[in-house]
Parts: sequence; C-alpha cells; structure tokens
Amino acid sequence: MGPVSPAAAAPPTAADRELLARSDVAAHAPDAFRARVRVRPLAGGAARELEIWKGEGGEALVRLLDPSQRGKFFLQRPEGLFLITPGTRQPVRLDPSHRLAGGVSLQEILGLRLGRDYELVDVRRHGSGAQAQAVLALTAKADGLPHARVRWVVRVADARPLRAELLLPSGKVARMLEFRDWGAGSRLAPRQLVVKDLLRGGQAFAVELLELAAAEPPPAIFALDGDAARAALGGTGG
Amino acid sequence: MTLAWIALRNLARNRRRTLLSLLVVAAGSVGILLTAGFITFSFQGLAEAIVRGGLGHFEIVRRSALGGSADRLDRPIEHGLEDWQRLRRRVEALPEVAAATANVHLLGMATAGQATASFVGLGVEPERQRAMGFTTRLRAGESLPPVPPLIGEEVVLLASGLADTLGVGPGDWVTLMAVTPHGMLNALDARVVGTYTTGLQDLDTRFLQVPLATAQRLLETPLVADLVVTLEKGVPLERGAAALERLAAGHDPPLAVVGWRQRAPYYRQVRDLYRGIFWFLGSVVFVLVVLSTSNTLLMAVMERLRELGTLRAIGTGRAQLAAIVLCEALWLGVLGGALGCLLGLLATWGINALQLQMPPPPGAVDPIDLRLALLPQAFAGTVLLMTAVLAVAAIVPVARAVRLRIVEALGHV
Repeated sequence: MGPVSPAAAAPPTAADRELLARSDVAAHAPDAFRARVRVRPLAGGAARELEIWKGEGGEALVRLLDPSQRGKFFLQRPEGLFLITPGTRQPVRLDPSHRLAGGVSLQEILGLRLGRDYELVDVRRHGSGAQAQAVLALTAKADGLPHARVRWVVRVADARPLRAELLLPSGKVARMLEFRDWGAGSRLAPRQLVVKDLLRGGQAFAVELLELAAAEPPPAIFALDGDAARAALGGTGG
Repeated sequence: MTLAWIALRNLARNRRRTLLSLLVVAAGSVGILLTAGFITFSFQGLAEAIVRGGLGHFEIVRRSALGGSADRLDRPIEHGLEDWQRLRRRVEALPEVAAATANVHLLGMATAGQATASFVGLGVEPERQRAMGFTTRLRAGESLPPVPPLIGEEVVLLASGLADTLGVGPGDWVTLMAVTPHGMLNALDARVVGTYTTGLQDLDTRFLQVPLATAQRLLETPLVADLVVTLEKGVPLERGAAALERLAAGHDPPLAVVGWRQRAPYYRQVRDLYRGIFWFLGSVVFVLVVLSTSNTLLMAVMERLRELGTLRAIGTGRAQLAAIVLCEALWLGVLGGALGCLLGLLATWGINALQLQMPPPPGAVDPIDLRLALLPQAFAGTVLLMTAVLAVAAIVPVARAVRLRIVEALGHV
C-alpha cells in the first residue's frame, strides 16, 4: 500500500477529533507497563527481542535481550533519549528519532502520542460503509518531535488505525507503519505492525508484541544514574 | 660529416647571433628541466606521503567488499576478514613483503559535553604502523600507545579540526558512537591522547584513529576490514602484486589485492593536473623556441643568399644546401640543449640548496617544499627534444634555401 496522494481535504469536525481519540493507540496503552517485543527484518536477518518498561511519567526503558547486548539500554526521559552502555561512564544523549534495533524507533514501538503531541489540521475520507477510511492530517504541536507531520489512516467503522505515514517537513513520506494484527480484547493494542523506511528503499521490519502487561516499573530504572536498578532487571524476564 | 662540420663553422661565423639562438634554446631547456624536476619531486613526495600515510603499497580485502568496483573506497566491516591473523602470517612470510597491518574503518558520531560531530575513523595497530614507516603528523599530545588498550581504557587520536569542533585536547574524554554490523548502536568512552593532522583541512575536521582493539570493541566484531601491505625496499610493485595475487588465489572467501594508486584518487587527480600543466608549459616553450630560432635561421639564410647562390653556381646540389641549413639548426638544438642541461643542473642545485617553501595548496594545512628532482632521462630527453624542435624550426629556412634561384641569388644585395 503506497502513500496517500493529496486530495480535497476538509477542516476537522468534532467527529473527526473523536475518531482520532478512539484510534490513538498510545493513549489506550496502560499508564505503566512492561512489554516484550520482537523486531525482525522482513528481508531476512536475525530477529531481536526487546524488553520495554514504561512509567507513568512517560519515561521508557528499553533493554536489549540479546546476550551479546547485555548491559545496553535505551532510556527515554523528558529531556531526551539516552544510550546506556557498559563502554561509557555516562548515558549518551541520542537524537529522539534514533533507531533502536533493526531500524525501528522507540516512538514507533510505543506508539506516537497523537492526541497529546499533534494537532489535527484536516481530514479526507475515502470509500463508504465498512470500507470507509479517514485520513487525518496531523502536525506536531511543538518542535523536537521526531516527525513534524503525520498522516493517520483510520478505518471509520471500528476506529482501527490502518497505517501511519510519517512525513518530513518537506512533505515527503519518510516512514510508514502498517498495523497488521490486533490483540484480543477491547483494548486497542496492536499485536503486529510493519515499519517501512521509505528513504532506504522500503526496508521493512515486522514488530511483534509478545507480551504486554500493566506493571509498576522497578524504582530508579529511569534515573540516569540508576545503573544498579537496571542491572537488577536481568532477572525479571527475557 | 663534412656538411655537419661546414654547418658548425657557419654558426661560428656570426657568434653573436648563434649565442643568442643558443641562449633561447637553453632557456627553453632549463624551463622544461625545472618543470619536470618539480613535477617529478611532487609526484614522488605525494606518492611517498600516501604510501607512508597509511595506505601501504597494497591492500588485501575480501572481494565482496569491493562490490564489483575496484575503485570503491569504503570497506564495510560486514565484508571483513575473519582469518586475518593467519592470513597476515602467510603474507609476511613472502620474501617481497616487509610487513602487513590490519585496519578497521569506522563511521559514527563523537560527542564531548554538548558538542557532537560525525567522524570517519580508522582502527590501527600503532606499533606495526611505526615499524612499517607509516607516519602520523602529531599536533599535540602523544601517538596511540603501542600496546592494545584494556577494556575500559580506550584511547583516541583526533584530527586537529575534529578536536577543535568537540572542544577537547589531550587528556579529555570523548564518547564514540557507531552502528555495529548487526545494526545495533554502540558507544565507548575514549581518552584523547593527542591530535594530529592529515595534511588536508577538510579531512582534519572528520578523521580520528583508535587502536584496532578499540575499533573492534566499538563495532562488536572480531573482523578487520583489510590488511595493508608494504613491500621490501627495491621490490617492484608488479612483483609484489604478483606474489600477493598468488597467495590470495583460491582463498575462501575470495580475496582481492588492491594497489595503492587505485585507493588514492587524490594522487591520480594531482598527477593528471600536473601532467596537464607540464604539457601546457611544454607547448608554450615549443612555440617560443620554434618561432625565435626559425626567425634566426631564416635571417642567416637571407644574409647569405649570394653565398648560397655561389655554392649552387659551382655545383652544390639543393639537397646539400638544405642539409647544411638543417645541420646548422640541429647543431643549435644539440648545443643549446646541452647548455640548457648544464644551466638546469646548476639551477636545480641552487634551488634545492635554498630550501624554499611554497604556501599550502588549496585545502592543505602545511606549506610544501620547493624541491626539484634530478632525472638523467629528463636531461637526455631535453637535448633530443630541442634537437627535434630545431629541426621543425628549420623547415621554413630550408625551404627558402631549396627554392633559391641562382641568378637572383647572385644578384641579391
């Protein structure tokens, strides 16, 4: 499925805003959770498993479960994304759009906070009945987000997102997230999505959610100097 | 032989004009010799700097790393050498080879405090590099230590521009980040032991060197990108290449032996530029010498019309007359070229003794020495060239002498 071509757009209505809220995957996730995901390049290559802890304050910690990557973490804090590795004495600050493993960014795994970070600017609708789709054009409310513009394509009937097109400021589609499978239950939780890097010849990765459970993160794992707490995570799974 | 002797005596009759012609030819010869000497010295110096700057005479690399193009310069570690230590032992056992060293090529980001810069790095074996005569032009601090650092005691040598961008100097710490062959980000802290210059300003803003072990730890790989080989003194490149090709044949995975010129596009560009300059200057000298000597020779013919008419009247053939004029021109070429060689030799010695320096070329950091190479073949070639130039210059005067009509010539005043 290719990027959506521009067509006649209409200003958003209250119904469109409600559709956005209902389809906002990240907003439906538990406030704090532990998740395990597998990232696999579709062109072939080794799959990597990641353990993700998310706190109520929006912090997130990604632990690489590959034995060769022991001791390596990505830490998302309000002030930015950090790499924590045994080779460095201090966490190393990274670009927020940095790819964690296999070319997938933390935002792409955790979900974009559409309702919080983006503003709905216009809407286009396609099809009718069960096939009706809405293309919601979103722009970032503030600088510093990895993607300045997002096209959020939603099936209107059940408010299930179909894909997200992440645009550069120029309007070029840089990456595309396709939601392939959904978890059972009433909660809007994707079980599998495919991330495509359209700037690198469509390189694609499947992201599979293996576990997701509401959980209180162990104390201090989100602290920059929380090495001991993070080291203790070794026995918590993976 | 008699005609040649007569031609030489003819030249001696008008010593002032002959001397002037000889000086013109000699000046052209000196110009060519000095230009050839400068260009040759520059080529030799640049080649030596490139080979001793870390490129070596040959590189052994997995064929797949070249991606089908021998001119490809990047060496992705994914296509690195696994059995490089065994391979190196075999390479160094060759009588043609002086030594071989392993490299790992890096691309990544360096950070120090709030400053961040992208880098192009090289993992090297400092002790082997020194033994192979590879030089690093230090600007501050020390070179990389000869012993591989322990884990957690990583060190780095930064190019001066990169150190300025990061705001660090010897003793400071920087964090190096790179993506491993498995697509994972990795980072290491490294202490800056010193700063150096590559000789080119643009490269100085990007380059760094780390010990091979540090580069392998950063990329989380035991592979190396290539083996760089230097030959024993006096071993011709062709012989070295043949020996390495024989050794590489049949290796699994297939290997390629790449000569240093293929990996030095800068050298090729400079060589082509200098060749262009040399041919342009040579053409200018050619035209100037041809025009001025042709004029002189024509004057000599015109002044001697009655004499030449008399020679024709007493039975001298047109071919003999033409041969005399041509021989005069050839004598001017040989003698002027020889005089030019003598003056060129003196000028070369004099300029080299002055130890002059020229300002840095565009993009370079250091001034360059103005030295001239002494090339025996250039001296011999210059005499031959000037003889040929004078033969060309003699075409018009010879034609004038051949077309001479006896009656008109005898009546010429």
